[in-house]
Amino acid sequence: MRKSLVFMYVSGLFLLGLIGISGAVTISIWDEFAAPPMRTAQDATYEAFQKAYPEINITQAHFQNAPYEWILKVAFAGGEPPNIVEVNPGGDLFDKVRGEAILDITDFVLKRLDRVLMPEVDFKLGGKYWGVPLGDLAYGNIIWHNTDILRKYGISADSLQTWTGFMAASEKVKNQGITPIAYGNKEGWNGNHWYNHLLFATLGKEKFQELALRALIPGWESKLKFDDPAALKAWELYAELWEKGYFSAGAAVDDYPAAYTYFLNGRAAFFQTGGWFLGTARYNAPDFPLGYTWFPSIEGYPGKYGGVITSGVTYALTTNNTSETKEAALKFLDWVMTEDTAARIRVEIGKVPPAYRISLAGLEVDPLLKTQIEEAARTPESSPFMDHLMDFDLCYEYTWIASQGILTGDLTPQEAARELEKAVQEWQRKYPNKETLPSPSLRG
Amino acid sequence: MSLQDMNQKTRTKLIAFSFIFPMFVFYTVFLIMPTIASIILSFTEWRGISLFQIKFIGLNNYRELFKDPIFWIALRNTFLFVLFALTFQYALAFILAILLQQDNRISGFFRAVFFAPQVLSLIIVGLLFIFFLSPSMGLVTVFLEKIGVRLAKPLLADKRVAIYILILVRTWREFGFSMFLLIAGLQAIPKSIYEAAEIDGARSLQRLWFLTIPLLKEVSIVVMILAGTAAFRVFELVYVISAGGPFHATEVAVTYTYQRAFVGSRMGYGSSIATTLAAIMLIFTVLFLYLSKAGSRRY
Repeated sequence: MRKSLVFMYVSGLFLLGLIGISGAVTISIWDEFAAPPMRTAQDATYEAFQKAYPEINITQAHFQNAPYEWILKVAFAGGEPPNIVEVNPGGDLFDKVRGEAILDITDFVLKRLDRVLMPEVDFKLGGKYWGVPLGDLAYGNIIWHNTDILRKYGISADSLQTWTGFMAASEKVKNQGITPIAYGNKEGWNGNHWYNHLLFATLGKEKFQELALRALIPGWESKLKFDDPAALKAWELYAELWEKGYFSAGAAVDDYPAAYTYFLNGRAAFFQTGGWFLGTARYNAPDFPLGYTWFPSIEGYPGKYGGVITSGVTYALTTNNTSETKEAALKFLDWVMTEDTAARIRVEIGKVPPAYRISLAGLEVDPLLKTQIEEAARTPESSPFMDHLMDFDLCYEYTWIASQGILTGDLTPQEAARELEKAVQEWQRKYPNKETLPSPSLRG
Repeated sequence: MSLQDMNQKTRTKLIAFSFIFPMFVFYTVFLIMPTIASIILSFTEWRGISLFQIKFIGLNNYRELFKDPIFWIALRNTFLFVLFALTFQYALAFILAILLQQDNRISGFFRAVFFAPQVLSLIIVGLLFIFFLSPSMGLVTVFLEKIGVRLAKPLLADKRVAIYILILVRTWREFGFSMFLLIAGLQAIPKSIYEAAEIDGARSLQRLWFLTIPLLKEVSIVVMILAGTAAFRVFELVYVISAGGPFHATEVAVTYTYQRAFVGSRMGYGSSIATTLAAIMLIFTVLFLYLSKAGSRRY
């Protein structure tokens, strides 16, 4: 008995020694890509990295995007977050910086910034860099269409470049008994996107960003208001789509998957969402006759057709890192930033545009994605999403939820605009200057 | 000092304590302490990430809460769930319990049918009813279209009826359990009491009113308290089917707590909603127990 125990003890030490000699380090990464094709792309990314760096093991966890943020919060509050987290830009990044939960990696990022295509505001706050682009960009303001329906009713894709043309096309298909626009705003973010893109079109890039930043940067000076006529117009046009019966019947109740299923079943002519939908459509309905245009310009307003709302997610290092895991984690981030592999995987499997300047040679790039990348490179103007330029809480209640209120009749466009402006002014009173922000990291 | 050396009373107490202690620890760690922590948090402002950024703000959360119109909508909707649980759900369970209390195959079959929804998780029930009720593709919508009925507004988008749809879905899921408890209570009533009453000429309605209902009182109180407190805590069904929308039309206290605490990153404010709800539930339970004992006080 005693000899067996000694033998087991020595064997255990030997095995531990082997592990020590092998130098294997394990790092944990969490992301919110729980469904294919993005989940497949993430898994392929981690696999490719581990092939290149066999001494670093990755343990990954994929979460659904709705509960992802609060799962992260619980992990942070409990002191046990993973080594690397995928972070959404805007309010989510702001929260983590404010909570001193992620590391400042400014020096690391500055040396590798030349390849990055993503807007810096998505991973830079208070003059410092807090993450690195994950690999892909999101083009937010796309209107997908069913090419068969357009062909059948003689609607040209070019006519959809203006608001008048888009409304005429919607009226035409509606008269044929087809729902013009598949839309599900149960969660509210889809409504926020409609408002965002309409506002971008009515204001143009400069005023759009100037207006939004009033509720992110304390002391930000601007004479613009959310209830100015041009800004109000965005709510009015959104309400008009509903009043004219262009949105699907489940607009206020259906969620995003229900809306895109409705579209992919051929029951609606148009579906507004971002470029990430291409992967979903190809995965779920590979033979669907899919086409797209950018969000239309609105006659008489400065926003240009082809302007792009663009954004992306990042990897960030959490404060839960030893010197060993931090070194391994930075190796992973370096690989993502300097090698083409991660971005190429996202392009090929996820069918999303790259966040880095990479070579697409030898890749099977979806023809629609290829066109989008080429057109986005020529865009007359681009901007991040509005909720990446504003305090998230405020944006959530006064645009996400307000967009539901317009559909239910609880809010008129004027009320929605007025309430949003009031909330922004309240925010500015609460944070008159940078010194009022709770985190020192944000005051830079 | 060994067990043998102790006197009988001490030994009994020690043995009882050793059985109770593990559960007591579990209860303290997973129920009492989080409750106390939540109450304390309700007096703070905290984004939920770093413990070092918790800031004490006194009663500010409660002052804001009582002026918050969405909180009152959520509370009203929660009370509607409770009201229906105590009336409609109980009445349905009671009637079916009376009809199905016999031990035969038909009763057994229907008891299983009515209890089956209890076996399904609330998430699955929610997803199931989305398939039925979705205005775009739901079975109800398709059926109504086929028979030529066009609703002015989809049921779940109509704020006048959406909450009642959710209440009905919840009642369908929950009443089976109440029914089972009432059947157990009915089967515990001695048959000889009914036989004696029949011999004395009591008709069936009289037997129901003067015997069954009073004798079932204790079980009914338990059923109502369980149903009522569960209704106060309704969350999954509402979250899955409507997420509290559209525009807060179906918001209940717990979904609003979740929204403010986790989506809105205001843990302190969310805790104040949760604490207020817990206090209301406590008052409800104490009041209910007091009123239910009122008829049976001795003079």
